[in-house]
Amino acid sequence: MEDLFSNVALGLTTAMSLTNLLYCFVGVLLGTAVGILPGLGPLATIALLLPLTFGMSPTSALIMLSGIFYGSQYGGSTTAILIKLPGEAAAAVTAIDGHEMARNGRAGAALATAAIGSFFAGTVATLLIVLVAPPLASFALSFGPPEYFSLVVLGLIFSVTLAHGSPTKALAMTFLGILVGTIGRDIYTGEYRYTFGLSLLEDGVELTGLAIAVFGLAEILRNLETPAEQRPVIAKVNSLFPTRQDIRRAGLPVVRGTFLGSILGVLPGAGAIIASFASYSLEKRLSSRREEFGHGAIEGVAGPESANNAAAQTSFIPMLTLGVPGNAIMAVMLGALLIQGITPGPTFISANPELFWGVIASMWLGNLMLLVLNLPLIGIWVKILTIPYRHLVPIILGVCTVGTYSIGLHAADLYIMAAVGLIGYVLLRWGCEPAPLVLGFVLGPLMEEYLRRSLIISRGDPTVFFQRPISAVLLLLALLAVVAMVSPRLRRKRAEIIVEGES
Amino acid sequence: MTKIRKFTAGLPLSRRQATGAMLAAALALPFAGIAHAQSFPERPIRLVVPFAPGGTNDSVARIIAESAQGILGVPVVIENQPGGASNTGTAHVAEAEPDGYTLLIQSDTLTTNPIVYSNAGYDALTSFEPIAMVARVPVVLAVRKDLEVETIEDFVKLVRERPGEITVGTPSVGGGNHLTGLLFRDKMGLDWVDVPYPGAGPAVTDLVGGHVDAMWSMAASLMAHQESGAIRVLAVSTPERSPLLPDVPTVAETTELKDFAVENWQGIFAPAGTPRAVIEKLSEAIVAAAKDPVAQERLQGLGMQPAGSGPDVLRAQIESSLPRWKEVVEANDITVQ
Repeated sequence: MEDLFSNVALGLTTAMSLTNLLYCFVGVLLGTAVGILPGLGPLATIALLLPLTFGMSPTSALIMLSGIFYGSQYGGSTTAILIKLPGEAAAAVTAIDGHEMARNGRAGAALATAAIGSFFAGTVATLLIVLVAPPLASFALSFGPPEYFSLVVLGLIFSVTLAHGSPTKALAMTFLGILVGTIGRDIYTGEYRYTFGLSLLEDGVELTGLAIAVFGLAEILRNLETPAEQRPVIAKVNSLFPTRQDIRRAGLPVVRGTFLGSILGVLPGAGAIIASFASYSLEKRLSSRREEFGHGAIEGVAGPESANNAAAQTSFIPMLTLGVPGNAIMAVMLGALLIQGITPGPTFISANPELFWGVIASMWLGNLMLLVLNLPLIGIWVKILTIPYRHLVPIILGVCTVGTYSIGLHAADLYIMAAVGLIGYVLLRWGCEPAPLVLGFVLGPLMEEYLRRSLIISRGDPTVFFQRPISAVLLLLALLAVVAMVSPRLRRKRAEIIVEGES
Repeated sequence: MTKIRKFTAGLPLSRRQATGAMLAAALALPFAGIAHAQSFPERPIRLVVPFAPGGTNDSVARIIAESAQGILGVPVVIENQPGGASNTGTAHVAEAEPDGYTLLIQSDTLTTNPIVYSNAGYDALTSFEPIAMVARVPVVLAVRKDLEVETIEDFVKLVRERPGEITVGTPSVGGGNHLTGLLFRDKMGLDWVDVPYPGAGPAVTDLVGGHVDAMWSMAASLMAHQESGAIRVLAVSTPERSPLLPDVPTVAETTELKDFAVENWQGIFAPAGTPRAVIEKLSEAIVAAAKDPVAQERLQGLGMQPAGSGPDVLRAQIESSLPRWKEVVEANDITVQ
């Protein structure tokens, strides 16, 4: 324990040096900015800034780069809530209830909940790294292809609960998402699938672009179908901060989201997106106000936003303690360290205590900075909603276009965005919601990848999924979820809820 | 010399390329070519990375760009053009104006892709002018830490005892690492299970986690894990031992394949038709940039063997590996339409 205190003290002294504080601030500020802008994400930003870090000390470099990453998780929710445009893929689920809250005049409460939830999650996740980083890392390594497959199956089954309308339509949208996810190059054979000979489809559809189109564009089209004078006016913003009741309702979801995000963040490949979707599903299952989900339930903002921030933070664990990057961003960070001559791995913490503890301490300071930075901004952000819609639409379209183009600098992505936006609108008119589609799109290809890899390794033996304990437990949970969903008593209850929701 | 060979080789110039070449020739006629080369470079140079930001190729590009712009006196701007298994960005440079202001950084993927993909959109030898090789990258065979083998001979013995059972992670189907493994497998007459991954990162994670038995990979992805003991490197593919892993024997010295020699590399290219004087100027600058001690240290940190070789070495490398990869790809039928 004494060691722990001296380590934390060392970390805080390192992180509080004027230079490091400055780099931390620059990092979180940049992160917030790229999080708000759809398309331009933390990965591109970090890669662009990499050469700048060559001249810095490794500690300052990592402090700044990680600030960009978790800062972007804060920023991503802002546009999702205000104009239903997820700035980051991980914020897509926040757009569902966050934007509804904004329409009800509660944008301030939603933004504040996202910021406070993220801060709580960031603090807890930092503590987790301090306390249990090595055991968590080895837990992550025990996840092989069969375990991932079972986890993804569980996630897909929960995706049906993401929709607040008909489960059949939700299922159909999930499948559509899975199908769209198969477009592109098959990693097992190198062959192209569903590309129709179009080179623009060879690399598949890009997630951020898809989310921008089905959420942002489709929403604009739906708003435009009613003439301006009949359009439901966005309720006057009554309070910028959550009410006491809000805080009571958001408390537990924040805690659960933090827990879920911390676990999923450690697993290489799972990450922040799945964490936010999983948290939303969980909250909806547990809530006594299930009918409010999709119409501005604060739990639907609090849980996912905490989860994605916690996941962003704990995804550092396998990178730092094992040298195993869990996602592309961690791979770039690993590169940044290697270029500096530092090798992450089991001996990393003991060999570079100042670096490790300094970066960890900076994460907490950075989260604090983000909270201080974001709360006062809420007053400015909600003013956006007072802009007349005829001015707002071109601005949103401009942001969508620039954002989608900035992902890969391919003009073709803009055609895809326009087409998908139109399809998304038609589906919306038919009462099909975009959230299960996005989740199917994220999880479908992962399910295929892990299923095929598991079977290749087991040489075609499907019992591998039941022989491995973690995998078996996950599949059992999935089975229970299905049973709960189709059992007649629950189905009747669900039907009642839908009728209520539609009336 | 280069110029004559290029235009008499009867290569299939696209219409756009042909028009571009004619136009360039017509425009260049009134001006003295030497004056142009002397003033080169006058504006920023684009270095196209045909992969997403963050990969090995991208990191090398940024290290070289950083040290080359000091020597060239103009900014070297990195442009990531990922897509089509790197064919998109590579073909883009092949079709770019051959004026020395659009360059490409590529690895042995430049050689393997036109063999694997029928629609690669370029020819490894005739679409580019090699400028410089900046790093050499040994390919290694690594095994999970608890696999009961000590040497590559043990490994071969194990695969022979349990044919079709040992799993070998493949960073990317049809890539250099995959083909190196297949070359070894075919020459030794072995039978193992190839497990494809969408890149080196996840494959290394599964090797460290013990979910696959072995992996052929660029040394760069595995160096850190070799040091920490999370995996064990059994052999390097290069003709001589690598200075990065001086204790690890080569495939040639430990097996009956005495002529086994595969080496990956990172090199810089210009579109074919770039004036010779410009190539020379660029080559000199980039070789110097790669030999800069700071750049060398950074490259070594990434698990690369710094090199600073001119166009001839790079061209010879491509020429020698083309027929070898063609044979492996055809024997294993991994072409993509």
